[in-house]
Amino acid sequence: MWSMALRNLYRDRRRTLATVIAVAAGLFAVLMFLGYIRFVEGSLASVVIYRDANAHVQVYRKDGPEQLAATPAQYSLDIADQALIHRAAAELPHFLRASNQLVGVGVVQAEDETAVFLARGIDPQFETALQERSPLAAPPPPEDGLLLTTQLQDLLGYPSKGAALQLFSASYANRMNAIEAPLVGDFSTGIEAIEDKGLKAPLALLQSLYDTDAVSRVVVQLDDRAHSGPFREQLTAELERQAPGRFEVTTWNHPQIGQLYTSFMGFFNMVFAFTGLVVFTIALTTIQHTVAMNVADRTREIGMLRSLGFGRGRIAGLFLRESLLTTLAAALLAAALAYAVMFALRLAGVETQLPRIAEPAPLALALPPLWALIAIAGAGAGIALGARVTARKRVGGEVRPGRRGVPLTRLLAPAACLLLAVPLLAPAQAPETPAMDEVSATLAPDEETMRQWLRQADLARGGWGSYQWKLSIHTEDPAGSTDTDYDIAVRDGRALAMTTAPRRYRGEKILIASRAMWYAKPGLRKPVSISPQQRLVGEAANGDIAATQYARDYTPEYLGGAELDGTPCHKLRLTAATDGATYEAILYYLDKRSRLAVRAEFLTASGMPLKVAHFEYGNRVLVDGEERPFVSHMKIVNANFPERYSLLEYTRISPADPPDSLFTVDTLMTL
Amino acid sequence: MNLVEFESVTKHYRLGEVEVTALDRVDFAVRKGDFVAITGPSGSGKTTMLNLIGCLDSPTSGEIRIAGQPVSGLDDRALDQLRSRSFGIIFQNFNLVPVLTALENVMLPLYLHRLTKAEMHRRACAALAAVGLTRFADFRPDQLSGGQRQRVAVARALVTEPKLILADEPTASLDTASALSLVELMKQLNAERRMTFVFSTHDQRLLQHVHRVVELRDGQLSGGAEKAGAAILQTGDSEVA
Repeated sequence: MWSMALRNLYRDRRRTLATVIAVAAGLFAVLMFLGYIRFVEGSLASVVIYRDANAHVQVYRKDGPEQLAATPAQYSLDIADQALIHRAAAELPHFLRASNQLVGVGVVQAEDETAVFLARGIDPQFETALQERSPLAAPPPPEDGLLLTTQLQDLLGYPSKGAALQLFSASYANRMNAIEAPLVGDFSTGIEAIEDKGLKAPLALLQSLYDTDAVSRVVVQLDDRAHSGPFREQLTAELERQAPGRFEVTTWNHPQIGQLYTSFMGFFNMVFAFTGLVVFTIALTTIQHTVAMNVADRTREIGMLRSLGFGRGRIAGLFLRESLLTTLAAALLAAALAYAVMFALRLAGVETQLPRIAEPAPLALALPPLWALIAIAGAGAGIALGARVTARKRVGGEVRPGRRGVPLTRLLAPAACLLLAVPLLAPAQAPETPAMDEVSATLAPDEETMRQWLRQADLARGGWGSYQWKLSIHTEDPAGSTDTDYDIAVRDGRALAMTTAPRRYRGEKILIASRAMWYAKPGLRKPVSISPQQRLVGEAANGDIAATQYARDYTPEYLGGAELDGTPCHKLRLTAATDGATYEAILYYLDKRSRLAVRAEFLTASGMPLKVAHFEYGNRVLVDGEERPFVSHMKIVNANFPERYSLLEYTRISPADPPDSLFTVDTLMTL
Repeated sequence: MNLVEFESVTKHYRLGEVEVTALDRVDFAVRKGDFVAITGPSGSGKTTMLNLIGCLDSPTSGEIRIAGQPVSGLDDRALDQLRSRSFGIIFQNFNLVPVLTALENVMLPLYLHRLTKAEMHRRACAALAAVGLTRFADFRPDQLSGGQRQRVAVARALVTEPKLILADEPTASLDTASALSLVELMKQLNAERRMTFVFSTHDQRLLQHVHRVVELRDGQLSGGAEKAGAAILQTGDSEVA
């Protein structure tokens, strides 16, 4: 039967040749596209694994991938965790090396420009080792400097290479901290949403900024990315055995990590599926058409075979064999052509642009024979099935009318349309944010009266006049509690806070003067300027530490009366009036009798509560012979996580006359 | 026992809007060793009758029995089996497979008989020898004359040693000499191997060589044919007996 099929093909060689060419063209397109997809896939994987230093497998604290950005300290891995993970990973097969990594946010400053950064701290030795295995290696990072994305450098006014940059952030213990390091080069984060914040630093340097020996994750490099999945499962099982529910293990193609890879490949796979389907449909139609023509041309032969007792299936089998031989010839031709073209492309050194990589990469299309074989076998099987359906139907029609079937191509066309339509029609759902309007009060005091109230309330917290006092802050956080003591001096709206305890933080200073804020500590060449937003760092915002002048920084609006714990109050809404304001808006409750603030709700720009503060006035100060109440305790609670709060205790308040020179930036470093 | 029995067999065809009655309540029988010609003008139903005997078609009504077994209850597979075991068919246009040699064409029906390659080859060679074409075994149909091609078709029909050989106008595409030689061959096979032949023809030259003639007219066995048929049938019967 095979030789008969072959001879039949030879007899109709023109038709056979035309069919072979048509099918080969389709298969060639599929193979080339497959080669290209594989090239892109491999390149993207290399970028994610090596260039972006994610390695193959990552270990986080449970829910770490999602929560790290918001609460890095709580979802970090302590020394014991790190040791456990390193030990467990090293015992598994395909392990090459493991390394600690840290992520964190903060503000970077170059000369007068500041910008928010999202930093990754990586061990430079690990990254050097990682890059050696990569076909798309980035220059290995230096041991002591910072790499910034070009977008971030742009925000900083393109500081020259080697220029010292200041990084400022809250430590894991929610304390303000800053470090200095030189800018040494560029890199890219690979994630568009954070590209303008990208900063890469040696792990130790970043750990010193956050004043921690914890890390965000441990990454593991394997000998081959094909082992990532199984390795992840084994490591998960082992870690689960040793510390149930504590860790989460991901692989490089986790959507939070290999976002570049997953998004691009999702798109590419869709394009490939669609293209493949179209090519397949064309090839199938061609073959079906050829089979139908062959059957029509050989009705007599078919009738004869039927009369000899050959069954329908057997005769269809003959046509099927012819189709298979045609497809095989086409496949061989397509494969030969595809490999020749790939070789030629390599030889010619054609280059292409890859997503995320600035320099062009050589278009090194590679298609393992097994892949080609699977693709061809898949297409061949589909085509053979189509040919068989056609042949059986046509051959059957010769002896008795067959059932009317729907041609496969007619089924495939809507499937292709559907496939194309799904991504196009995917509804773009924009979340609706309800407008939250406060009801305005009808009987409102005039603005001047309210400003007078605010001044009075500020006064009782050291907002005006000249005082000095001692401040103790106790901060409670799931990641740990801290205690810090400050000496505070204020003079007419300017304030200086100096850390006195614990000992290792002595010498840190925060200066608030003329609505600006600076931070200084021993080791920095010059003070770091702190923008209003950065003052929000810490549960007790840095802006809360020194003093507050709501009368100056906010515009009041009367919202009516309210009762708090039996105390009748005025409820005001304060809206930020100057750049110096720490918060966008404050709901402020003033005791109607004493005009002292008893409660403040700090809001974001969109009106969502950030923190709630309660004030107590147990202190008394003598000003101009008059005894006045002064704040003694302030409790600031995170509005979203009530287990996070700060207790501020004010002691030893005394009127003072600190010199003006105490409140200037120039002298801040010399104090 | 009758090899073939028709009992009031009717066959209608639809040609567009018109319904054509190809056979109309025909009763007919073929016995083992018969050498029967079905004759009649074009459109009288000769080919229909052969198709029905060969189970290539099914009757609209009536019953057909092959070797005593009704065929109406048989499924596709059983019919294929019946055709391959019981019949050899010869066509007017020879219907050889153009890409196969004479020998391969003769071997073709044997593929359905679970034989070894060697046995298939032996039987096909024997069949070709029986029709005197041993020399042409490796020729393809387009290298053979019309008479030779039809002999190949005969060899193909008899290679499975069927109970019955059906031939539809086997001499229509042949010159007189080839036609006569073919009829001689068929008669010889009938006489020597007791093979049963049923063939259609309207070639008067052939009818004198036939034991039994069945004449069809408008789908019915005509009265005259019955007589001639009966006369010859007796001869045939006596020969068979």
